[in-house]
Amino acid sequence: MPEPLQVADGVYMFLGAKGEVDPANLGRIGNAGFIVGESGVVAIDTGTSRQHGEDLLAAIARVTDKPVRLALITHTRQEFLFGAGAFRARGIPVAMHRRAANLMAARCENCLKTLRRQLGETAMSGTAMFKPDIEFEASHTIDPIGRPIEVLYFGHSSGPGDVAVLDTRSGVFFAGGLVDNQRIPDVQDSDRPAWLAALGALPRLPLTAIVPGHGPAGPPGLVDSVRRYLTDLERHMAELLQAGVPLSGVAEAAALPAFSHWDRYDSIHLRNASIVYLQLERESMFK
Amino acid sequence: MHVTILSRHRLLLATIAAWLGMSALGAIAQVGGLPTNVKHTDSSPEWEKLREKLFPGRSMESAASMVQLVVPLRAAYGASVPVRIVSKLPQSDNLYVKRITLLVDKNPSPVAAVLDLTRELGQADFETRLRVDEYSHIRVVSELSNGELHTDSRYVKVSGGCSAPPNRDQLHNIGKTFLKVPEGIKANEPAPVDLQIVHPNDTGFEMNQISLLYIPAHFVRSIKVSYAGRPLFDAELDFSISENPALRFNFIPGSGGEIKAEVVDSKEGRYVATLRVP
Repeated sequence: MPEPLQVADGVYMFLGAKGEVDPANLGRIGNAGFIVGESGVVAIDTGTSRQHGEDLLAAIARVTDKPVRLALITHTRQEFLFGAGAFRARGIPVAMHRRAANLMAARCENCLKTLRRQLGETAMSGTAMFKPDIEFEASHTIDPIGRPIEVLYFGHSSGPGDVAVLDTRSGVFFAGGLVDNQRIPDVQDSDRPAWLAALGALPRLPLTAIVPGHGPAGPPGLVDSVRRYLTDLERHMAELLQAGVPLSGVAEAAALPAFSHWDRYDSIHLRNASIVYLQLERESMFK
Repeated sequence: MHVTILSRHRLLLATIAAWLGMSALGAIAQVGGLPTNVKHTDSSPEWEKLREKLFPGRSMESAASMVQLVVPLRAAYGASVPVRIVSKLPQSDNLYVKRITLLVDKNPSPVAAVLDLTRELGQADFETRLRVDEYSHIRVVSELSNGELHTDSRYVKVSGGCSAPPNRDQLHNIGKTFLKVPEGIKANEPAPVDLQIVHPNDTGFEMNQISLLYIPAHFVRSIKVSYAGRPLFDAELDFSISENPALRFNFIPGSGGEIKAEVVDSKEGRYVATLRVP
């Protein structure tokens, strides 16, 4: 059963498991959270499966008897999406950025198929593709619970429709895809210059703590570790390309020892290396 | 449930402890769901069917004595898995590699490439990049000029989950073709050439994220390469070849001439690149 961890007064997170999706962790590798206001609750991200969504709702109900009014999905990764059915079945609207919703419609049927194979029918029972009840385009403030919450969109950054959520009362920032802690961030869907620009803008916000998409909550300085990883990765891949290392040699030469203790270094980092190498190679063809 | 308000410092310690605790659990967990004990040399139902269709009734040597397939152990990115085909014999007059077929068992269109080769290559080694949708064998079949078939295979596990959205920001550059001699040349010794084409190589299975319509298949389907007017190889290709198709091959520099690549895509787009050597 997911355990809520209190981050600030009325602000909680659920910490996802480390490592790859597997039957032991039920694919529950992403964080989720919720904010309790005067009159209700806003949930942030919905988990990996219908059952995960049910478990999150049950855990929220043990903290407060106030009703959940809204579920916000921060970005298009399976571990944040597919619990939405549990919320929608209770009439709780699910909100997403339009581009996040489109990305989900374009590719997540496959993610779901893969998840079913990895976790089995029982774990994924009742889990289905969905269309969000609310789609939005720009940053905006919501207040369905007597506590103002800012939904922040930085353009296509870590992903095309990635948003972050700021609880203005406590200064807790749910970073979604923008920040991971002690976990390799995934560059697959990103526009890296825009992502770095968004990270650069975060210190100007009145933040007291960050709940990352993956890994434990931390101080606002978490942003710097993600920036460092992204810039080191790009610099290293540019060096490999410059030195004539072929794509087949990238995995062997990808090491960034400063980040080797981060979760998913053996998987996501290697994929990131290939992706950035190929992007730089493509850019070099157009010079 | 009553939750006391922790100081930020204690909160961080608590969440980090929870994180570490989960890692210990994860370490003893058995990975399941997908097959993990498959050997590189195993067959597959898909391969049995393909083999019967492509090489009916013919025997095939699989001792890797004549052809070897090299794939990095950690093929991290399924959209572009680098593969190298190594031939264990030179392209000599009395015996040479006549045709190479490259396949990905589980792909929707498994035959990635059929290369018809001449002796002018000197050495029938190739490198390219493949799309691999899921855990799959990649196979090469090498047909020698004496009719023998040799095969080698690798089982590849690409990290699952969601694939990257197709990159569509350079459509105006489509067909731009580059030829490069990356390692210099020595007279009468096989030297590698890199060929790369700017092309989305669309499979027809990707959805446009704005319109949510399928992007029609559009891919490089043939490449003919010659040196000094003499053919090196003809390649028939499919969309199992990655975006921006890349091919490394050999030629034997003689008294000089032009390497020429003629590219045709599935919408009859025609593109040509030439490179003067030496």
